[in-house]
Order: sequence, then C-alpha cells, then structure tokens
Amino acid sequence: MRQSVIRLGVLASLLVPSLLLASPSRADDLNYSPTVPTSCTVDAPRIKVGERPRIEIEVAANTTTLLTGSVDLAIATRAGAGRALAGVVWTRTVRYEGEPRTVLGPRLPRGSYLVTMAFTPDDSAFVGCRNAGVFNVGGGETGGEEDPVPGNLPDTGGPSVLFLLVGGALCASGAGVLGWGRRRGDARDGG
Amino acid sequence: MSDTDLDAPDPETPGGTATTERVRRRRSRPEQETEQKSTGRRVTFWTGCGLIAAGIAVLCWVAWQFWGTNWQSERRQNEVRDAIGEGWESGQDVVRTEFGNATAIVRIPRFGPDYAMPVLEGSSDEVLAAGIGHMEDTADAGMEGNYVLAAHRVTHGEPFAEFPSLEPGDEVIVQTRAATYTYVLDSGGEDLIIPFTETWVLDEQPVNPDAGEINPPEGVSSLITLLTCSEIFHTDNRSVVFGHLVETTPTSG
Repeated sequence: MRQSVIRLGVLASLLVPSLLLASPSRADDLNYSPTVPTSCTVDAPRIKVGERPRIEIEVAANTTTLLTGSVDLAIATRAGAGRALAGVVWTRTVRYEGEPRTVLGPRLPRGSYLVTMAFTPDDSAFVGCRNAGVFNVGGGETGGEEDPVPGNLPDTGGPSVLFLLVGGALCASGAGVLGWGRRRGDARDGG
Repeated sequence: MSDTDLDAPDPETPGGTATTERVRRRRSRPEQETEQKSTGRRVTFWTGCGLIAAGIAVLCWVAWQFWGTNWQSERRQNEVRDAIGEGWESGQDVVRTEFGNATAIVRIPRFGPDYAMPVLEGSSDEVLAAGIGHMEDTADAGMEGNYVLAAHRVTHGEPFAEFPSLEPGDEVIVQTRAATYTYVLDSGGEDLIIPFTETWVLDEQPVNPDAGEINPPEGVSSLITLLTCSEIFHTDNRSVVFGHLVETTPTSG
C-alpha cells in the first residue's frame, strides 16, 4: 500500500510538470498564425569582370527577438537591357543569425544580374520575406551611386564647346591642306 | 621647275642668228624628281583626308552627345518608369533598377502634360543618364528639410531642358509610393545662377551668402531645390530654383 502511494506520488510529480509545460505549448499550436512581418534587404555593388560579388543581406522586423533562419540566395542573368530573367547561374542557402551578413558570390562574365533572397524564419511566429537587387559586372568602372566629384554640384551640362571648335577646325584645316596640295599640283603641271 | 621657256636660235634654220624664233622646249623630267613630287602630293592628300576624318569624328561625337544620348536616355527613363510602376505594385518603396534606386516620379506641368520623369538616388553620371538625381544627404520627398533634385538640361534625356522657362508659382509634383507631394516654386529658372562649387543650396535650410540675392522662402520646413546647368554647352555655372511644399496627398487616399 505504501509502495503504491509512493508510486502514485512519483507519477503525479512527473505528470504535473509535464502537463504544465505541455499545456501552453499545445495552446500555442492551436492558436498559431505567423503575425510578425519581416523585411529583407539584399544588395550587391557593381563589380569588375573577374571579381566576386559581395552580396549583403539583412533581415529586419519590428521586434526585439533575434531573427534567425535560412536565406536562399540565387543569381540570375538578365536578358539585355530588359528585366526578363535568362536563367539562374548560382544558388546558395546560408544561415541568418540575426546580424546582417555578406555572402561571396561567384565570378561572373560581363553582364547584368539579378540577385534574389528568400528568408525562411526558424520561429514560426515570423512571416518570411523576399527581395531582389540588380548588379552589373562591367569593365573598369565601379559603383553607380557615388558622387563623381564629392562636395560639388553635379555636372548636368552638355559637352564643352571646345570639341565643336576643334572638330570644325580639323575639318577646315583638312580641306585647306587638300586645296593647297591641289593648287600646288596644278601650278606645277600647268605652269 | 619641269618646264622651261628658252629663247634660242633654231640650229636648223638658215641664218638663225638673224631670225630668232621663240621656241618652247620641254625638258624630259628626271624620274627621281617625278617620284618625289608624286610622294609629296600623296602625303598632302592623305594628311588633308586624315584631318577631315578626325574633324568629322569629333563632330560626330558632339552630335552623339546632343542627340544620341537623348535617344539612349529616353529608353532608360521609360525602363525606370516601368520598373517603378511594377515595384510600387509589389510593395517596394525603393525600386532597384539597373541604373540605380528609383524612388519617385516628378511631374512639372510647365514642362508639358505628359512630363513624368523618374527620380533616382544619387547624382552619378549613370543616374543622371536615366532620370532626375536626388542629391545625397538631402531630405526625402515631402520630409522636413531640403529635397534637392538635379538633372541634365541638355544631353542624356534632357529632363530639365525647359528649366529657364520655370516661373515663381509653378507646381512641381513629386509622386512616391506613399504619397504625392505638391511643391510651388518661389523663384524662376533664370533668377539664380551660381558656380558649381557653391554647395550651400544643398543645405537643410539654405542661406545665400550673397546678401540681396535669391533665397529660399523663410519659415518653411519642407523645401525643394532644382538645379541644372545654366548653359547649353559645358559650364561651371548652375541654375537653381527654390520651392516649398504646399500639399501632401496620401496615395491610398
């Protein structure tokens, strides 16, 4: 009898905490729906041919909870100057641990590319997010957003009038040389 | 000289000393001299042709700047406008395009009823070749501070081609995804011309260091400043107009 009471006591002591712990979690499961939206940011600066793009990714949400999850990255070529995607050339899945991070992409030939990110949160209370950004692999130029002459107002005018004058002067002098050569030849031939 | 006129007695004429005849004789050209002349002519000819070709190339480049870049930039502007429309529909405030981040569309009724130019962040050559540039570190559209926009007056699509025609009272309508902001200009397109080194126009509350010159309106928290080159060809001077915010209409409303 005493042993039975002890067994019941032990069983009860094991069951009560497990019930206490299980109840809220079951309630959460029943009432769950992801409600906290997240915001994805992906950026890759313009690079030269032969360089690897540094893809910067960031996920933000209006919460103090650390955002963790996985990020699916993909790079696709863009056909010409349009926005049509010609094909995915690179994919990678990386972990996101609450801090913005940089992922090194592949070496790519010259062209325009679209990098996309899709965030899948670990915590099902958050809603996943997606975003995309365009970057170019080009020649010697870099960047497309820096001020070319920092500290001054930008150059918004046409070409220098000097080019017009130089072009006109070259044409005129060329015509002059041709005319002079012809006159000289005529003088020699005709006396 | 290859030809020579000689006054000489004809040896075959009897009494040639008495009746001197004027004869023209042509001396045969030495081969070497002929070759030198031919080479000289060729050099002159090709030098002239080279100069003309160089001149035409330079003039073609100038023509490309004035017409070719406009054709190219108009396509880019259309592309950015389309991308803005698609981006706003999908919920993006800032739309990433091949030429930069686009944030707004500007309408200036003075420039025509169809005038709708995209605004991109920054003032790099690439940005200014695809629309209007929103100067770095200046206020956003509709916000407190100075919203500064710069664009080409000639070449690269010429968004501000009609800048000198702006007059006080003209409206500048800036549409973003969130709202449409209406500014009214306080100065005209030819009222203020400054050197490109005078960056006070980018200040949050610009104050003209030249007393008595054009200033933005006082006591206004949300300003707009438009700037472009003051001449057709390259110049160090910039034309500037100031305006202030008069109306904000949320897009959803």
